[in-house]
Amino acid sequence: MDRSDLDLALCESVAEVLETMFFTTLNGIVERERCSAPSVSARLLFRGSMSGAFGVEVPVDTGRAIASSFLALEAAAVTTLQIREVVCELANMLCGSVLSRLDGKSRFELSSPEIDALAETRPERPDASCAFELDEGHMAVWLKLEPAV
Amino acid sequence: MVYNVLIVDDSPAMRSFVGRVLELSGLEIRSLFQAGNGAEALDVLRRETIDVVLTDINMPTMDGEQFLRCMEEDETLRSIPVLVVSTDRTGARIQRMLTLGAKGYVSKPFGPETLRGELERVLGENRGSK
Repeated sequence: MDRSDLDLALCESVAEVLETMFFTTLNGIVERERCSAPSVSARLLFRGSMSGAFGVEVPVDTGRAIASSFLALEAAAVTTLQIREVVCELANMLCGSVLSRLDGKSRFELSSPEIDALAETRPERPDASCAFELDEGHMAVWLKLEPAV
Repeated sequence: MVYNVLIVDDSPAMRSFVGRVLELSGLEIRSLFQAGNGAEALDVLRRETIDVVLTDINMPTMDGEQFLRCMEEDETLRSIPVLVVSTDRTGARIQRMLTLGAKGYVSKPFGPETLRGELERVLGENRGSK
């Protein structure tokens, strides 16, 4: 499996999940750069025919807008806790969607997503990563595979 | 008919989303109950009259598979229809959950109309079997 397969799975999954459940339009792929604004990052681990880690990072304002849409709340009413919960659920759904695209026959076990407060566990060289422009701002996702045993 | 619905998911955000979809679906909902895992869900089921359960699979403390097994083993609970809502869309998992007693399966991500359609099918079949 090469990088292009992984990147394609990431892009297709992001488009599907955002449009189906977050009612958010993906406007395009942008040059990936570390988010300089305050951000919210979520990370989870997966095990199965492939094992590794998956992460999502969004600026706080984008997270607030996404949470507002997902929870059907006014943006001003969304709490920090709710933003974190929604970003965690987004990471969960994206990871499941990506893995099902990469291997639709195998079962995977996903850990509960956790907020990655300082984004320090994002790998320097993920196996796949994409950054996207949304109506609400930007989002970055990454995937790191453990070496096959 | 008016329904009492139990939503089981370790994600508060997802429980809120599913609840909102149900309330907007046109189905007559009397009460929505929530639980964060299978063990909490069993507590609710033994305390309240529940007409249908929507459950995730990957949850701490008691996951969806163990929860279904417990419901099937309890003669007071096994007739309550269960709809699985999960990120896992593999054929093997879907078949496993149906074998354990689930009456329907919706993969995330899903549109509101998909959840509603599957829930109506499950509730319709359950009414027919009574």
